[in-house]
Amino acid sequence: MIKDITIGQYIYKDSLVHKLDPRTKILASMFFMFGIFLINDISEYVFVLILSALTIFMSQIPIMKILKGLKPIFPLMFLTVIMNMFFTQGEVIFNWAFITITREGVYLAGFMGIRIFFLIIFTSLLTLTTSPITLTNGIEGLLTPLKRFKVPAHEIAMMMSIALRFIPTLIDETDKIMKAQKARGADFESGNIIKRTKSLVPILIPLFISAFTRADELAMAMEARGYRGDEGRTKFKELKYRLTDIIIIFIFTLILILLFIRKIAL
Amino acid sequence: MIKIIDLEHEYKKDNNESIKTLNKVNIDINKGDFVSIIGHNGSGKSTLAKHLNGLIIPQKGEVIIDDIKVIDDNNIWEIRRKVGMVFQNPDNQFVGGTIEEDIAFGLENIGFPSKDMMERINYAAGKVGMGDYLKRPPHKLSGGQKQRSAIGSVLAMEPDYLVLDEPTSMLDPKGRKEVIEVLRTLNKQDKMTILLITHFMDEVVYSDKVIVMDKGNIVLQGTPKEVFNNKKMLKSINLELPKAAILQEIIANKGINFKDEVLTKEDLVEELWQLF
Amino acid sequence: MAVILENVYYKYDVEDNTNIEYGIFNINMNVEQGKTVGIIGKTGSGKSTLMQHLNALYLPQKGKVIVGDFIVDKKSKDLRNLRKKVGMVFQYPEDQLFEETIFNDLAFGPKNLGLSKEQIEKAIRGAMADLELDFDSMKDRSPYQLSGGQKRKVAIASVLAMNPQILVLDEPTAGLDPKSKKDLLNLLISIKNKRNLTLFFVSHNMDDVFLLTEYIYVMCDGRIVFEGSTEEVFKENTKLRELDLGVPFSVEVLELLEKRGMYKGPLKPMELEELADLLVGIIRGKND
Repeated sequence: MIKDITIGQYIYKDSLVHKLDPRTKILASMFFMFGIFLINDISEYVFVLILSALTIFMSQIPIMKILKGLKPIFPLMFLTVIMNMFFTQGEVIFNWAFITITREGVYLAGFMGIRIFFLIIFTSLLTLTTSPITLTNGIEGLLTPLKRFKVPAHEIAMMMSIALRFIPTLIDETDKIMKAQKARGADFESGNIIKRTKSLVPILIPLFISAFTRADELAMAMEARGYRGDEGRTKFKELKYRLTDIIIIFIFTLILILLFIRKIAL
Repeated sequence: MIKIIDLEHEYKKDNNESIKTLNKVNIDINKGDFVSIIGHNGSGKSTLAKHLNGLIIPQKGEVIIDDIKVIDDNNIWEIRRKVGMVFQNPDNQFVGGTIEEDIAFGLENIGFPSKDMMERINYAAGKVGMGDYLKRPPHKLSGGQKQRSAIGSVLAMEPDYLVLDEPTSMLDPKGRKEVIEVLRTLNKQDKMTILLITHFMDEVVYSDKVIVMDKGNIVLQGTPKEVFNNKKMLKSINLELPKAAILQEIIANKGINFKDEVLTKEDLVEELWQLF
Repeated sequence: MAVILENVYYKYDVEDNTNIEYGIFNINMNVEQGKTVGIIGKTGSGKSTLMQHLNALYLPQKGKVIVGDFIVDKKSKDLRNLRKKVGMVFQYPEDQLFEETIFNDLAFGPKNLGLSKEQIEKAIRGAMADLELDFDSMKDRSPYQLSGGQKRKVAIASVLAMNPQILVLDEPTAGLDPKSKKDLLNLLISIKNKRNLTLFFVSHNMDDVFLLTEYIYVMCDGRIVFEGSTEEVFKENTKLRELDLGVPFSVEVLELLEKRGMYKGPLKPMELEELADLLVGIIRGKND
């Protein structure tokens, strides 16, 4: 189950989406996210669905791979849906004991669920089609103008790329430690919340210790290979906007603007 | 050439008790040599390795790399370009998301021109037999492949010396063999100077020089045959001989003596052939 | 305690660009009580997945695993009783240590089994003694301050403290220096005998496999490709090489001798002492 998380995984394919400039992909994803929070109309969601399907198709990433990435997020989605359903004021359509469900609640819950769904799909797609270093190059590129205001663009980017690089390693490690403790009779599945939280200690402590060791050794290996921050550094993949990038950004900007106008107009 | 003169190192434990990890160590390493340092955990061999590219600055004594003394932070970058280093854990030295990105990382650090990078990456990956895997992420590689690409990452920076700190201790026999073969080829074909730190006896038999360390001291130094001739000393510090050498000893006890020290199974069969 | 696997099948859901199937397929095994069996195969051949079926860390998608009178199939529940019987020592088991003291870490397993205080201490004393760890001087120390070899022993003791009847060892000596490695192997052999365990030994080191086991299963691509007594399996030097596996040192030497025409006979694995006798015999026989 823990191995199903797709955020942070990268699958190499020779596709149009893969070849886009990372800055384009990050900007487009951000516009997309703003966009889905602006809309609340079924027909608009159909449009978003088509847009997502098209992007996934062009990326050549197997659709199952992306859907599987949703699995671990289900509890979160479920929780959001429930919260919205029960705690929204409005026209009551169901009432039993202390449970009250309103029409507005059902709508909101549905929309929130759909939003999270698309949110995860697009972030997964971003990381699945962009290798960690390219991704962080993109972030660094977008942040560079902020360097003037003392924003440590390079450091932020480096930290992110290392975090992304180590996600699969740490997932494997979590899996292994969990199994080892299970084999020693640990039980992560039963009991109340306090007991369950407590049962995580035998996993978290070894995981932290190993993460620190890794960090320590990685820092040394990086230094040994001449890393000293931003100074005098060149880039393996220099970022360059091409025509497709400009078109994509144009399309996404246009969509966002249209949504804004619609939202204000309504 | 690398010159280590009277190098000492000690560190303080929590209870203020100081422990000497290196004690008056003297080593010369010539260009083109394959030198192995062998010893148990805690023998000081890793501390020694970290002195060679400025990860540790000498407290006492000198480390001189091609006439440049490792003194302080000001010249360690120059030294690190000359001395490349590969570490024990294959996962914890893999910075990039793929092999090509990992090789690129070092090149980026030294300001290598972007347009020439791909060519250099192909060259370095080819040297370690990883040319076909450039787009692979680390978690889809075997331990041996990861270590080979770590060696490639260092080679891309064109160092004069290659120092490897127990590069095989976390690998399976196949991975170990792959790594040692890559090192031998680099040494023979490209005249790369190699300093291999290990605790496996059978990995040192091909070196030009073997240095045996124990408790911060160099206890033996010489060609593999000279070193393995000192069976008593090796046993006294609990180092295990290669299997062929153990076999030679058992056979000698049964009254059959070989002409020369045997280190590998090939040596052994050769000696038996002479007696046959 | 005997272990029987009947047509055990487990397929991973992996999507990559290849058509390779990952998992284990139709595995049949029959291991009698007290036996020591080796599982060999190159990395990714399914050894670990197979071993993790023995205490239901994986439930077989098809087939069943029978451990003593406990039957595991895809619907099995309440696995604690099984986990009590089967001790698992994973690769680099010291990574699982988490308590402040060695005693507490060793108590984790027995506590999960619901043992009483006295029983727990007794189990810990027994496990530590078996691994030559001194109870009085070590019980209150932090496991993190130990050397690599000692940490490994504590981790193995933490499994033994549950008093399993079956022990699974996955590369128990990986990453240790040769001295610690040799000591640990010898200890494991004596523990096996003393506790009369059924032992599963997974390793890439063929000399260790030869030293420890009496029967071997050879795995490739999730299947058992052949099996037999340790001696029989190691005679198949060509087959083993095809599978990217090595052979014990003695077999390698005999192969070289055979090539030179100095030896004709079975390529039998043997210990160094026996090999020396054979070599001396060859030379004396020729010179007489």
